[in-house]
Amino acid sequence: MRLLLVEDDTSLAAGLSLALRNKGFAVNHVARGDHALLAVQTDPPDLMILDLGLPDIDGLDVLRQLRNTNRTIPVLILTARDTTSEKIAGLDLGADDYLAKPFDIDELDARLRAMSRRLGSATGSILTAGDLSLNLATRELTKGDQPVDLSRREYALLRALMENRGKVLTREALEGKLYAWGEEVASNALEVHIHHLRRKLSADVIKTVRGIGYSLRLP
Amino acid sequence: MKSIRSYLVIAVLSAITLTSFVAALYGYRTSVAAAQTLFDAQLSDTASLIAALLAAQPPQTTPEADRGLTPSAGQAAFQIWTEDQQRLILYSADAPATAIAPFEPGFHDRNFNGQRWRVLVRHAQASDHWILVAQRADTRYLLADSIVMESVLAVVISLPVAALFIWIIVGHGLRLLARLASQLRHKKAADLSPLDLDDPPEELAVIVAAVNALLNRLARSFARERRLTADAAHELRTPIAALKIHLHNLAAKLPPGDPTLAQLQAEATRLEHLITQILLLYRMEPEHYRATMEVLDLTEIARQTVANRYAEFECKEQEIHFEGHSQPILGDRFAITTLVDNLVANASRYTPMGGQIAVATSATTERVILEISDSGPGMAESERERVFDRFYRIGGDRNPASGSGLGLSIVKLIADLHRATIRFGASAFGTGLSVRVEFPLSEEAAVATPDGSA
Repeated sequence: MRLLLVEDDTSLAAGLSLALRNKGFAVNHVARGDHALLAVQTDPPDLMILDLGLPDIDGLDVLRQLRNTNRTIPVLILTARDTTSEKIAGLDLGADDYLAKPFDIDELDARLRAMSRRLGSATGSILTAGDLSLNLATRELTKGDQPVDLSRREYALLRALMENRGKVLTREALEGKLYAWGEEVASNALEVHIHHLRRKLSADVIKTVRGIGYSLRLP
Repeated sequence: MKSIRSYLVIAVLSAITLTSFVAALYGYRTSVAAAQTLFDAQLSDTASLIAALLAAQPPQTTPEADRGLTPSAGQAAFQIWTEDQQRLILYSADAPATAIAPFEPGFHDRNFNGQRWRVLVRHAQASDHWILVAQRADTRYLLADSIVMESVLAVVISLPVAALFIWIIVGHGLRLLARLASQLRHKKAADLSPLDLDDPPEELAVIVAAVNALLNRLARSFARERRLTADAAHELRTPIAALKIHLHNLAAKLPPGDPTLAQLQAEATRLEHLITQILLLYRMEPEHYRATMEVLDLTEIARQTVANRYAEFECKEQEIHFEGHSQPILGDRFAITTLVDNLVANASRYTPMGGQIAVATSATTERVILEISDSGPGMAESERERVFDRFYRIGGDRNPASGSGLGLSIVKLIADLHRATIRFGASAFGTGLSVRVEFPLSEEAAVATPDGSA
């Protein structure tokens, strides 16, 4: 996965480049907005991390110009500013995600992976957790070597849980995934689908956090 | 000077009294002079009358026989002497047998019969007699006294009335000063808005202008100070981000669990937390924060906040209890999330390993309540007032559990923004603290979900 890092702070850029390379990204770093636009023209990357506080052109202008010429590259905005209005402005201009400094490298990694999955590339479209492997392109789940049949709703729930592995997803968040199918959902629907998933995988894969929600727990 | 009003009343009354008495004194002298002229004219008339009578009918009697002529009130007396000044021809009963004044024509002041008298001596040409007419001097002073006494008495009687009027008038004149004082007295410590006084008199306008200029300078310098803090905190975000990345990269090269690295990471986290809290505090100040009020489900936000922090509870093996149905409130999503997050983080921070934390939402007929309790050491009564102070830490700086010392200040700002109240109490876990945030029940929120559930 080729990544263009646009960041003017030398120290942060160096550390970030190393960390992202360790995570398997091929990182190309530029420190100026015009260089970023040039880099996109000559050698379009798969993903882009864009700092808003650049010395020459404002990051939001870089994004605007980028979207005029190239609409597809997923962009994650990184900034020391964190006001809601700027976040909205960035997302309105076509940024795919937004992270305020200082950030957690694992959080950045997770966001980048989620963005790359949306690209639908072969490597980016497979989610793994323990012995579970979920192919987002074909919607097929394998447990070890065994394929497991999932209903549409079970797939939606499991994907959300796998994408947020280790985190707790609230009832509301998970129900949102069910509602996304545009149908009425009974009040105990979530419990029913979780129950089915547990039966198909194993009882201890999905942990109930009482009163809060559910979490995917795998070694 | 204790009171301008008392001072003015006393000073004005004294001035009135003093000038009144000076005027009375002058009036007395004038009255005496006027009485002198008047009574002298009277004496002169009496002398002329006697002279005319003598001319018409010269007395032939001896002095002894004449004693029968007695006027009687004792206010006046007269003597009629022969031309050679040797013989007293006629005199009033009050008059002595000797001359009551030297035989020099004109007015004289003389004493006889134990009284002071005014005597007019006249030489009557027609009948060749000396006429001496006298009148008691105190009569004329008595008249002047009574004229002056009346005017002074009027002043003395009217003084209390004048005092009352002056008291009222001065009070009325000072009412703008009183209003100004009241405005200053009721000004909140953080309120640096200018004073507002309708059409102040020029004396007060100077004070109001000076105070407003001072307030303005203070406001600007506070704003500058706060902006400096915020800017500084902002500028620190990139270096902290770099620091965290470098620590992450270093961790990949060191054996797992390196104690120095762990401490470095803990310090970086602390620094990050402090910067975040300073920025949040700055952002949440009423003059900066533009809240977007919407109908929110307090329970959903609380649940999401607890879910986000779940890793920390697990890390400290803390048991979390969550209870509550959908509770709509009118609020700003970012602010409410920040409020709940700060309280939940505090509960976890001050509760020891393996402790318990309960988060519950509920509603009464008037309020929506968020209650966060823990089984930590609790909070002393004396600390409950101070915890909203910025940079105040329970247990002081040496408490290893302490955070930035800004969390509850932020919570208070947000609670004020939502007209919510914060109460501390004992938790149901026996030990520990319970924090209750009570939001006013919003009609708008109630209408959005009439049955109280989403």
